Amino acid sequence: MGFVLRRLSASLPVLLGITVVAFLLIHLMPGDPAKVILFGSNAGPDQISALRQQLGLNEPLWRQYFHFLDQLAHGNLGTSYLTQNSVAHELVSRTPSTLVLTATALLVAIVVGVPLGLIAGVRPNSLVDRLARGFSFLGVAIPYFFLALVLVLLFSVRLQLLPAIDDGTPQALIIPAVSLGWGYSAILTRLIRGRIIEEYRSDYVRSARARGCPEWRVLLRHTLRNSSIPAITTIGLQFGNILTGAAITEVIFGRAGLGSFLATSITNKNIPVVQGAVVLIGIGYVLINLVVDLIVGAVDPRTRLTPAIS
Amino acid sequence: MGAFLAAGFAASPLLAACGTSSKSSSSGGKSGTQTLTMGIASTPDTLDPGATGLALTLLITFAMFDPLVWWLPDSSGGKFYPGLAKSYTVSPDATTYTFKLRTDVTFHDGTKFDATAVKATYDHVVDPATKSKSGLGALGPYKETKIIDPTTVQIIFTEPNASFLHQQAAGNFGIASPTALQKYGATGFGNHPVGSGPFMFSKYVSGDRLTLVKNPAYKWGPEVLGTSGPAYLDELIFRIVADDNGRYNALQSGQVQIAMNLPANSISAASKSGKFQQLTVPSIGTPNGMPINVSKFPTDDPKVREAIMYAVDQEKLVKDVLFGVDTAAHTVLTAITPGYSKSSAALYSYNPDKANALLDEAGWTKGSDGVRTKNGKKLALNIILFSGAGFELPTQFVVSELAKVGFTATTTVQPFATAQGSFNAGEHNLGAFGYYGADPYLLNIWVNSNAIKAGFNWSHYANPEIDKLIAKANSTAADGARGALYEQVSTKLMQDAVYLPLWDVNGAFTMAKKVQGIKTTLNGYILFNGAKLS
Repeated sequence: MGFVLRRLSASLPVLLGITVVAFLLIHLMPGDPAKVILFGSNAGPDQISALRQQLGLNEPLWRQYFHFLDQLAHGNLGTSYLTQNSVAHELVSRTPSTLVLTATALLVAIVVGVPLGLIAGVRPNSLVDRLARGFSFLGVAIPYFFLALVLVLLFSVRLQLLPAIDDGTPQALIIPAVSLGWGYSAILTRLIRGRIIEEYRSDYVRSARARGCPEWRVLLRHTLRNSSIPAITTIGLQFGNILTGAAITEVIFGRAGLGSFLATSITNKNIPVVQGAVVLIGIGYVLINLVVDLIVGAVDPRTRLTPAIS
Repeated sequence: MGAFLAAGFAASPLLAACGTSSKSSSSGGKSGTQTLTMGIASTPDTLDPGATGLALTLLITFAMFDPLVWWLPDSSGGKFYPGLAKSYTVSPDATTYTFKLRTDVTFHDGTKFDATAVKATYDHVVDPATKSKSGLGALGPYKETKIIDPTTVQIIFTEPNASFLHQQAAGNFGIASPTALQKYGATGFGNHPVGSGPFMFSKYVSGDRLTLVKNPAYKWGPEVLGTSGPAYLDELIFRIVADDNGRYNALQSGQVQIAMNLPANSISAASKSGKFQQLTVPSIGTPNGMPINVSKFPTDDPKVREAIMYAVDQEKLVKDVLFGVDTAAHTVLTAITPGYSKSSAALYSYNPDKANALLDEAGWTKGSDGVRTKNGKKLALNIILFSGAGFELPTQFVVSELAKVGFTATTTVQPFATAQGSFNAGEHNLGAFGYYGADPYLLNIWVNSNAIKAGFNWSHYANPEIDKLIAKANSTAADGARGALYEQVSTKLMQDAVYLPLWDVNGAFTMAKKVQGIKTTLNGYILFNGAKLS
């Protein structure tokens, strides 16, 4: 419990930092935000000053920030410039799609990466190991958006087996999740392979065998468990990359998730949505890393004393 | 993207006259249900035609709403057809429009259509709470809607407004159910659109898809759209796929039957494959082109401006740079825009010799590097573009054409807002422009001398005669006389060489071969009344 609280309090400054960045976004645009927002609408000086008033741009910066925080704390992220609908509502409605995509991609990464790394690590320089190394080399080298396009051309356009864009069915998840998860499975394979090679020859493994422990138990219970810490930490750290990847994947596959919402809102200068999405994604990232720390703590009790810094 | 400056509301991707696609596919199952899915590139801002600032929304709302009077293509160009109004009359000074209404129309929510609905619709557009982005500007000097009796209604303007008939047919003024306007309020209506059109709103999943279903009671459509009765399609789905490749892939996989506004290279590939049909809808308004600044050296010299007009081969630009998807432009209005002047389009044809001769005449002599000079000054143009409007490559082409006759040029690309400041300040010789509008009165927006310091007169062209001519045209109700006035305006603008027209942005709809019966409006939209899947 103390560990959880410690980790939570360490996350607070990060969260505050995220809100500062999100808040400053509107001021990072060149020129007067009100004019930028109104550009093209033939707005007169009255409309511009009314919008400045409405956005609170005449207040000192620190007061604007506290107002922003206050609104945030009440779950009020403003209204979308494009649709006039509540940003919080639109973000929430698009969150499940992104969660499903990223979770499936992670699942792909784990289901492919862990066994492959394990087998390769147990039998280094075997055929399987060489294949696994080739796979992780390609996995890291091929960008997911390229892989996505190739898979779509093959499975949707040519063979017509899987949907090219999201149609709400589970099949529609396959190509996006595989293309997004593939690179991470490669990273996992490499990490796990390396650790297994090391751990599998260590003293505690030998003594486990000496105690008559069956080989599968030696492998899964002792070796894999001790080898998985860096992999789990990496999954947490890579989660930000998965979210970035999800944004591009969502755009390619026409998925109405947070990432594609953020991407189109940036194009439309829809600042409240961008701010809201940045905060939400930031919180998600912090939460995931918190969960990862907790898992690492559960898997390896040693880390509970000296919390991993992520 | 159609024209990037929208009528009254210029934000660029907004009133794109051209781009959505949709359609669904595979569901044409046992019961013979016809579902058409069209892949569109962006998210509608609202589903209220009176409030929207996006051409995309109007394309969608055309399926749900009927205008009082349709304006549709026919063999002679364009023609008005009765819509919810059986007939109309215009006062000679173009301030009062009287409509006689149909009596057999019912809205999707069961409300009977009559004069109350017309008044409610127009009052809704001008209601500040609606925050109308393009409709308000298109409406002009609106005074009021007067109910004479349940089947007669007058729309009255404070000043002459001859552009109104074209504007009311352009999409913003689809007649809305007064009951629904009351029930959902000025902004809520955008999430619950209720009209009288061939399709009814069913469901919208934000950022994902919009589903419309057939209105079985429909029987008041113009016959020229293929049927006056209910649509053949049971379902019409607009599927939002922002990625250009995504829309093309979905078309190839059969998930959508129409992909809107694919990039030129995909359109070219699609037509080469022989598996698809291409529907090209011309845009309306001012074609994409370059305002030529008449107040900055060296383009302050009319001979230099004329040389620019002769030096650029628009046909080659369209063929080589735009994959032949768009149409070469030669005057200040696109060919389908009312008031389009054929003679003004014939004023300049590609003629580099003539361009060279004009520059010689103006005293510019070619140096050994091919660049002309006069009194020690180079014939240098400052070109300013803004990003996101597709001008970069075409501009490179223009620069290479100009170099052949002795110009040199520097090109800067700025964000939209910055570029507008530069244009108003007159820092450019050539800029970038294009404007979507259903009536030639849009010329007033970018040639009026009051729009130089703040506004769209990026040619810095101040001609009181032209200002007066345009005002006069817009207070002339008679079509023939009005057309003649706009002919004069276009001709003078082209003679003064204030705008280098480059290309008409066509709306591009790449469709599966089984899609039949799609019709186009004269303002760049497509209609699904008679659409079917064979």
